[in-house]
Amino acid sequence: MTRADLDRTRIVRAWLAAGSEELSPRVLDNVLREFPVTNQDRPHWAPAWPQFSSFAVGAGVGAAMAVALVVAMIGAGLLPGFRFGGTGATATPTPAVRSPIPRSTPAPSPTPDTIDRSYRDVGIIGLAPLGLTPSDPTETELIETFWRPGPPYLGAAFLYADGRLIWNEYFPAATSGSTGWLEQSLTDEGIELLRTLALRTNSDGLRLLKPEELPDLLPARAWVDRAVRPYVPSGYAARLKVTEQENPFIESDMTPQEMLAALPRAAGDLLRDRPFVRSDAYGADSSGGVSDFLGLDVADARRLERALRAAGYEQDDWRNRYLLQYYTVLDRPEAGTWWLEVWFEPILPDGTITCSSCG
Amino acid sequence: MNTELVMAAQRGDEEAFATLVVIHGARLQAVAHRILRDADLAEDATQHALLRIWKSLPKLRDPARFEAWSYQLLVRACHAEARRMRHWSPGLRLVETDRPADDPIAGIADRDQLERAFRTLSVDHRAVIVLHHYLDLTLIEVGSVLGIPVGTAGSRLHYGMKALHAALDAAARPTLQQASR
Repeated sequence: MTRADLDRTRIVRAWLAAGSEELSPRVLDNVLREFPVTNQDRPHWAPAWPQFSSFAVGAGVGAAMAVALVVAMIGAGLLPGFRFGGTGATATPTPAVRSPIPRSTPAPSPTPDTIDRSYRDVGIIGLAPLGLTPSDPTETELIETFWRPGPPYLGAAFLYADGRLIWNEYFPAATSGSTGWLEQSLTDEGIELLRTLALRTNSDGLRLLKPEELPDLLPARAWVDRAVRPYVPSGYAARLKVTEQENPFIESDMTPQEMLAALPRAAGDLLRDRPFVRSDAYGADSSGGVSDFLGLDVADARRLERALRAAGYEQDDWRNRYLLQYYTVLDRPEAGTWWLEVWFEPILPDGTITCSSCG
Repeated sequence: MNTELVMAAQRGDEEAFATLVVIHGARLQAVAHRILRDADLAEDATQHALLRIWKSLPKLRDPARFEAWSYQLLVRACHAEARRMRHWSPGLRLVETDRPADDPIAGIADRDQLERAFRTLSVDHRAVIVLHHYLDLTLIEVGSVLGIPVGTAGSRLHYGMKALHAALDAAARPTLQQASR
């Protein structure tokens, strides 16, 4: 570590140390009022069990969650004919089992070896090829959002009132990228089963879901179509972003008008006076849920892409593993070298966008 | 941390847990505040974590690990708050903090750049930086708290600090006006 690194680290440490270290009265009052009426979870494991080692905490929690999930679902009668360990499990109706699984023989969670991951070649990153019909209907209500905190896989899944489950999976490592957005379709009963399943596996406020495991977790009657298909949007949203070339975390102070003016004229004209798209993932804290992405129909999104290509815009390999992105280099004599980027995100059936690599 | 207090709380002793809250709650909230950079979110995360700690305390197998375990639950609560708000965005609202008299951070530009750069990091990266540079945990301890391999903790720390160092460098660069003088 160089002297300069040490100095900068010292500044970071001082910055972190600044600020109060008090428990706010609101938190103290709420906790002291609520904990006495909250039941503690009594362990049902034998006291003689070995302790988890420090580095096995994640694995231990994962195993415990897997057992709890199985017990909870069987207890709820959610999984008639359910079996782990195969893709596309056949549902054979059997009476719901209500006794817990003996602890000595916990059912394994589906492992990467037993899950059909062929869906990874199905999704689309970028604009859908010409000729594909957009997912129908184009407008519907979002009823549940799921996140998967990973690792190794991250992603998000959205359940809509018409039974569509639209999801993606991506890898934080720069070597892999995203699956693109995928679509499956549930029956009304499937919607309820999935919501119940999600509630029962809820952990610390996060709704966890691994969509690729659902063919094993939900019975056949839960599905209209369990095949994984690419999600084809009915529109896209585009965002302008100027970041320092050396450090993409540093954004410029260029105004939206200045960014539009820096684009090729055809691209700027396409984006001018477009409506902003709602999003819970981008720029929502002070803007009432409105992102800085501009909405485009499919035809205009294609025109915009053509305009950028025609102007010689390039695509960054890393970014384009997650979403469609074009950039050009801006030389700003007063401030070094910057990238003017254009990001495209697909519009989801409830008219919003989400971050394709923020799950 | 007093393990007898922890063990008493594990048995359901409300007095003991209330004492733990008073002793340890401030530190938890300080950590949450530094990870989330938002006072309201930090309060909510701390409250959820403390209630989760009470609920799950009987399952803690080693009372001596109470502190590390509580940070683990806190970081999870921070994740939940961050996902609930979903405002990891360029639309930044900078956090005002009290500055000590011997503040070595020379300029407001430093703090603003650090704040901006820090907010672009994921909660995972922020947590590693805060646990290591604020709580002074070793990388092995950070890995243990977060349930990740020490190598992963190290790479997250490296990545996060690189972004913060770059932000400081950017703040130190002369402006156009300064350069032209």
